[in-house]
Amino acid sequence: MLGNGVKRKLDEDGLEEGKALLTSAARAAGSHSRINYTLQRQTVLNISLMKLYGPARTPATEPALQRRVLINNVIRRIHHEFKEEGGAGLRALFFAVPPPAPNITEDEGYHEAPSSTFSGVLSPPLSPLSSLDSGLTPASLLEDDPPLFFALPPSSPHPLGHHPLSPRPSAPPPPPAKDSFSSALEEIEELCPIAVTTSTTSSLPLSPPPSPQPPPSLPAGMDMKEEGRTYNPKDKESLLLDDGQAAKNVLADPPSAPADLSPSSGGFLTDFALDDILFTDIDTSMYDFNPPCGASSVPPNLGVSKTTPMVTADDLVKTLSSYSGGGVGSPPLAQNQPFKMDLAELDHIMEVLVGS
Amino acid sequence: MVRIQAPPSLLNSSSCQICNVNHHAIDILIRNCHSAISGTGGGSNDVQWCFSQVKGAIDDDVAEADIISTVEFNHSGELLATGDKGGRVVIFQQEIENKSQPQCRSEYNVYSTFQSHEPEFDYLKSLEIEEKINKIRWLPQKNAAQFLLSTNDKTIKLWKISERDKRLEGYNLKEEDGRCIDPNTVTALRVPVFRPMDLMVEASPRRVFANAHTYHINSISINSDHETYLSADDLRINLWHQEITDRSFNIVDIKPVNMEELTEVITAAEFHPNQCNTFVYSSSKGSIRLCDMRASALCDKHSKLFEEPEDPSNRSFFSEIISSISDVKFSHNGRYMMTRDYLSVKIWDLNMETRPVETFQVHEYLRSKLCSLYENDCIFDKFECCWNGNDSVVMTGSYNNFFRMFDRGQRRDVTLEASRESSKPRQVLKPRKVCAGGKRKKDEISVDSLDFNKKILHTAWHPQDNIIAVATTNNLYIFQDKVN
Repeated sequence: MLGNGVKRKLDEDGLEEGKALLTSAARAAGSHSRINYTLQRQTVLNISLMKLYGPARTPATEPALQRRVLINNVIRRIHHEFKEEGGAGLRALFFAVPPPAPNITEDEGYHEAPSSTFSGVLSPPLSPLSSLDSGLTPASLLEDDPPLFFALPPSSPHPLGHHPLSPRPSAPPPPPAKDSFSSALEEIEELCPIAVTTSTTSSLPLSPPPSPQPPPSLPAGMDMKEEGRTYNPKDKESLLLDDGQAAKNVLADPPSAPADLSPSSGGFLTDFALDDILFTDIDTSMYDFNPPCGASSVPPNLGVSKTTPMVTADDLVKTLSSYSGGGVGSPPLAQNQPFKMDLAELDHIMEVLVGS
Repeated sequence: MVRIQAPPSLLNSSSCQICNVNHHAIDILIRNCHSAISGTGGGSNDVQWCFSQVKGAIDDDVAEADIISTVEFNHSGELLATGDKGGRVVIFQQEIENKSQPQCRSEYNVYSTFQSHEPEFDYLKSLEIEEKINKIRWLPQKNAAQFLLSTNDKTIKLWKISERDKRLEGYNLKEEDGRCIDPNTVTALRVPVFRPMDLMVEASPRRVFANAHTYHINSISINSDHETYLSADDLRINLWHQEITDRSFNIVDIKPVNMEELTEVITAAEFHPNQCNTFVYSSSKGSIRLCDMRASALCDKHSKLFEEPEDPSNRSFFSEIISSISDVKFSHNGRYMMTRDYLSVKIWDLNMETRPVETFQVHEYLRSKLCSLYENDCIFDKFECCWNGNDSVVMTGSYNNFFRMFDRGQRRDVTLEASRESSKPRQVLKPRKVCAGGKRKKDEISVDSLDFNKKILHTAWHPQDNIIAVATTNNLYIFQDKVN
């Protein structure tokens, strides 16, 4: 199963095996149960990521929030387990697996990473083998999964580009999202200072380029993002060398992903940033017309609950544009509510929509 | 239920067999608690269910628009409404029982069909808004016309369904075929008269409640005050007045300030059947919150929290997903509520928050298949559940076109199938059995041969009689109990 230097592609078979493992988990005994559990977890993580970010689903309608929240919770839980286990569990895992020889097939495997998107996902031991530091391994595993999704050849469109949430008007992303994005990135960095690189713009407040320490896992992570970049994870020194090189290269790499990506849905993101993408788009709190609690707009002497007509930006646009909603009485709502949104921004959005 | 204070010598401390609640008082309380339920009719093993009718195309090739998305009887049971993915509502009416043939119960025939919702486009997000009808709820009847609320993801509509069996004849300014008469040519006036005509059922939208929900509406529930109703989406619940469309009150809001912290959504909500100030809402984490609107305007703080601690032995990666509640329904008497999660149906006593009083396993054999079901998205299927008229039996759907009934009093359950094969008139349905593992007996079905594309998500039970409506993907089956 975990053969010597044999690359396994994550295709149906891989998933089937993982599933079979999951079902036969109870029967696994001894030292294998730990590996089984980890493989199960990996399978579940892969499936979850595929569900959320896989290119297969391109619904014209908004995907269900409940589904996404539940899948996201699964991913979070697994990552939490990674964090908690630290190096201990995974170290055992790595020791149990013979390190692959530094051969060409491995390089080819990494070459192939772009085309078979998930190759190597099921063989975590093969990648950051030298990451013996306890603080590194969880993040390296962290890094394994999401970036592989995006390790696509430049020609194919970025999966997030097709993500139904990502098409936005070209209005700038709301500042709160950026802050949380960068703070989430910093959080990841604390775990393991792997650069979260994006192949798009450098306009994002990304975490600083990978620091030299700890080096081993860094190039591994970098490598995953590097399309076709060869990498020998074996030699620590070579890692150090690669590190500096990789860092430069990644940043120097011309943005290969399509430029139509909205800035906050950058190329290579961790799950926390993906959360950001996940939810930011539907968060219209910036455009909500709810008066803040205790606002003077609600007369205090009335015993009624806060009247929130729930006008949102999309509704505003709808009433402005020709809306053929059926039935009686689709009145414009609460025009007397104070507009939180800047009128200039509204103008900008309108311009985009009208296509002037 | 009146609690009578008896002198200590008469106290008889014994527990109800079903809900395990200790009744430190007179036997009357025990009898009223649960044991009275059985025997008042409707026990699932007393009843033999027979096929009555099936509606919908026989075609195996299902058109997406024909997929049934909701089923609901009205308060008298005379009307049965279905909504489909194409935004249409079809209402069936029970024909008056044929007295000459007592063994043949009345049939449901199409009464009205109308397009309730149309697909829309959200220009800001560049997303389509599905026209699929998520829920239909009937209003209590006040006059000759019938009213129902139907909702898709974003908009709720109040429809009036009225009959017309007379028409006016003898207009002064209009010919019979509709042409206008020149007023100058009119020499004499006459009073128009009513003449009978073929029954015509008209459905007209009377109110449109739009633009109140940012997220997808999953529930609507009509209040017992007959004036208000609630609508719930993933993160908010709004309270509406039936007459007023341009505003609603937000009564629950669980949206976090930072959307990245979102881990729980609202999955269903319902008003209490008798107390107009009480409603419940369920969450994706398996908890139900009961709120009292008298306590505060914004009911973010619950009055009661119903949650069962997780069974540690059953913990898996999917524990949270399968605990997500897909439906919550009050019992008719308002004492209990039922919740449906992926694998089970739970009955809660409103007075006890710590655990349900009854738990029924719907398809426990799926527990070992959760990963596959996660992969093919079946784990996210939202099954509904319903009570029978006297709250003694509950019903819910499963896969392979199976549906399950649980008799609370007699602690029995049965699995039945809605299929064309057993759809001869008045054919008695044979109980089905799924073989979880090991040797498969004759007539049993093994778990691996279940068809997960044939799922029964929507079922409804007539408010008084033993008539049930079960929706497969695109067919509506009506079963009745065998009249001896």
